[in-house]
Amino acid sequence: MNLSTSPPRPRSPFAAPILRPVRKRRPVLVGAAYAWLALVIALAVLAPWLPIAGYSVPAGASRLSPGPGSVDLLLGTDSFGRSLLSRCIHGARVSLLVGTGAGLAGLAAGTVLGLLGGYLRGRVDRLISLITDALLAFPPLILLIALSAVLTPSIEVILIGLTLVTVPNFVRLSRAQAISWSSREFVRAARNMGAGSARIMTREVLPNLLPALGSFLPVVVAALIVAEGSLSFLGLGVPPPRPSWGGMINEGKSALATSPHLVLVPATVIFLTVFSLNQVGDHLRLRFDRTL
Amino acid sequence: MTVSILRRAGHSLLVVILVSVTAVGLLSLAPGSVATVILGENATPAAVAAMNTELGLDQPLWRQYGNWLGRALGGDLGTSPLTGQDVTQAILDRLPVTLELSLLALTLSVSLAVLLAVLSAAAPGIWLDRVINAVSSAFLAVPAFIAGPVLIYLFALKAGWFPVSGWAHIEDGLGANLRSALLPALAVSLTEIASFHRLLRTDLIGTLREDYVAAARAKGMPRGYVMFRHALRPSSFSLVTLAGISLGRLIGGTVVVEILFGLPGLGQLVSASITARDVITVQGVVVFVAVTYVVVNMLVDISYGFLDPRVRKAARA
Repeated sequence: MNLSTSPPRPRSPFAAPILRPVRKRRPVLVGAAYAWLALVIALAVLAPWLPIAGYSVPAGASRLSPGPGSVDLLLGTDSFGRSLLSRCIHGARVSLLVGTGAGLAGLAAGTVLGLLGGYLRGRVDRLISLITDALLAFPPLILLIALSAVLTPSIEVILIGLTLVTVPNFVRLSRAQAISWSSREFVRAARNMGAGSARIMTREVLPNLLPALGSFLPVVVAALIVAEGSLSFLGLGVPPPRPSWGGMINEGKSALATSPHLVLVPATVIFLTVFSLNQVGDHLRLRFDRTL
Repeated sequence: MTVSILRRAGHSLLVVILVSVTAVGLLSLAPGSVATVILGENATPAAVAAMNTELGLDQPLWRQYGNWLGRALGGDLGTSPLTGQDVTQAILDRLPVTLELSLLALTLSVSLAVLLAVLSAAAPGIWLDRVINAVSSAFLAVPAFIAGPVLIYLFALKAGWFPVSGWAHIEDGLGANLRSALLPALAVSLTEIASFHRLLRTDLIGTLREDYVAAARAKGMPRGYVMFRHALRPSSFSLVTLAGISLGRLIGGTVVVEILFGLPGLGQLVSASITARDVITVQGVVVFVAVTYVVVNMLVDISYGFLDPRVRKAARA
């Protein structure tokens, strides 16, 4: 088996980064990813004003296969005859709201804590790291399940739970970045000119953290959408009749043998959305994260 | 070496304590009280008070924790107030299924990921690498609750190669056991394969540019030999970390497939307890899984020293 075509070259300090080839050939896929996300976001935001059937009323016979005809029957109907297209679009509202809401909250809290720990070091850093490690010690799904078990599932509970599992990841990233930026000359210069810690953190270090942390956001949102989907799949998500993508798969799985589209339609929508978010995230990270 | 292991263990112990405090404190989060959660909204105040006394919830939080810790250290995680079942026993009964599922999933993920990473790192940028990268990116977007139903549809309902649901114990024969475990394990593996592949591919490409690899090739060693004997081991450290983290995650993350495939594991226990509002059992499983996770991660960290001579030397110096 021919395992190699290129001869090994010694690495010079000026050699191209290892990931260069991957970086170059993505534009078409990344473009498609941006387009899909734009479509999903637009449909989700405009859902109440779109000329589609409501998500909780029958639009036709039950379990119709996808097919042309009317807009509402384009993706078929579920066991109650409700339009799958309408339910996917309204489900997008839940997924996107929960994903971006918890993602942004986690980003904000994680950035602040990581910045404090990474810049101040010492005791503050040790305390923050310990809490972070403890939070990371819970497998995320188990923590979410425990929360849903004790509290009644609702959008707020899910948002809080997902934020809780997101924060430690951002703390780690932000802390690592803060440590690396804090040792730079311009930070020392600011300190020598008499700037206080608070000013250096907000004016010198923080602006430099944001590109890397922000470009991490799409991947986190993708993970959160998956987490919300898993919760809904387990029946611990947003209470019905409000549709969510994971809940639709949960409802459809019993009819898998006869009407696979009940599962395949929402599964495809989640797949495309998560895939797109990952692509966009990789693209942004290669551009903005200087640790890569 | 010993010092660094002790320091690592001390840190893990702190984390375990924090985790258990959180899990015990979880009960006080319940709206109303745990007793009303267990007994339902319509319980009489007397019944609620009796339940609170029985569970020791009428005592201050620090004493609750002390009591709980004393019993937990003796291996007693409490008794379910609903079924009267011993929580530790319930966990031990379910553990083998979850453990087998996790280990099978991990074995599948690591072996497939190593194969894919070797193939794509051998010649980065050619068509094979691109195809593998595309497949890997796609896998990353297929969580278990999507992969599961699709795999059931394709391989159980259409092809009929595997059972749709149910668990065959090892006593019923290894073949039947593996047949019932393979689809669920595969369903949780896809995202793991993708992340393992990404990591190992990058590390391998880096290692293959090292001088000693060039030297080995210059001596005329076969490429496959250089890849597996010289490049793979030094490239695999991050993979070992990730695999350890992923084992911990899998033990808690097989909930979805256990429900979907009807497998009698820890996930099903948790899910059934949530439906029955059996908070004590949920608490027990959460503590058990979280502590396992911490311990596995600690062992992975320590195993670095044995895998990587550089770490071993640095620790000794």
